[in-house]
Amino acid sequence: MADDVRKKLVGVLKDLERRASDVVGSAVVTSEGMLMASDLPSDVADPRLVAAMAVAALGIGKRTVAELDQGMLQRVLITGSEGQTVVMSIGDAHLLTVLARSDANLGLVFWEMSKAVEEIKKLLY
Amino acid sequence: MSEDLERLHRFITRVFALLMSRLDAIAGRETVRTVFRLIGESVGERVEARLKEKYNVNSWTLERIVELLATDVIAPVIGTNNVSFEGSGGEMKVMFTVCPFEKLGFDIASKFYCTYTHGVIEEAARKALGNVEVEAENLRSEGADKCIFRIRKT
Repeated sequence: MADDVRKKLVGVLKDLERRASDVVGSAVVTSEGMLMASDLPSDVADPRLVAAMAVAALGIGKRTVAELDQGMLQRVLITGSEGQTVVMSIGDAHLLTVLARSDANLGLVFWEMSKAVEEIKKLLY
Repeated sequence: MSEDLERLHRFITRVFALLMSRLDAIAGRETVRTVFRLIGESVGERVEARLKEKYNVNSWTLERIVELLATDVIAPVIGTNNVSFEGSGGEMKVMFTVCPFEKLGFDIASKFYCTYTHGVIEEAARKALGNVEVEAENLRSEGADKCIFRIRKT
């Protein structure tokens, strides 16, 4: 991937974090777990593991809605006592994962993520 | 291989294939590919360290790491005649005509094993050279007669 595309992706992530201030980190990952662009907090020890876990979460989410005949997967939300993780597909080959505060306004986070997904699609497809 | 060992080998292979199939069904294809990719990356990291020590390499070139990946890592698994490499300068290709997983009877269409190989090559090259990009140009799992991985310094 060209460096300028990577820079533009990081720009989209930073915009997302600016518009939804409860977001503390975000990343664009390929469906094979490769980190394409990220703006993650410095205390995240292994960003590659975050990327892999996001793929796994989305994979299990997709399989769950398919198995239960619940339509198309919109997003996966993982809620911890100290923070939340949201994963959304970007087309077939990429995903956006966002780390948010535990008391985040999730409506705003989801909305801004959807907008970011559309912007990222324009850069990647 | 003795008959006992062959039986054991068939048993382990069958259990492994079943495991892959159930993981695929439960967690999704992307998840399994990602796990294979991560395993490949950790193997690639160790491969680079091993080659560096074994061949007393002070400073890597793209040609040297690709040559050693082909001759010292891939060839012992699939046979010297089934692997080749070409290119120079900032871009090389490594090619192989045999997939070891296909030989063992695994369904390679899932591309689980391609992501493993991709991870090994990319991480070994990255550890050796810094910024590299590895692209799977052709894959046997997609019906090509050989796998071609293109490695580029970026």
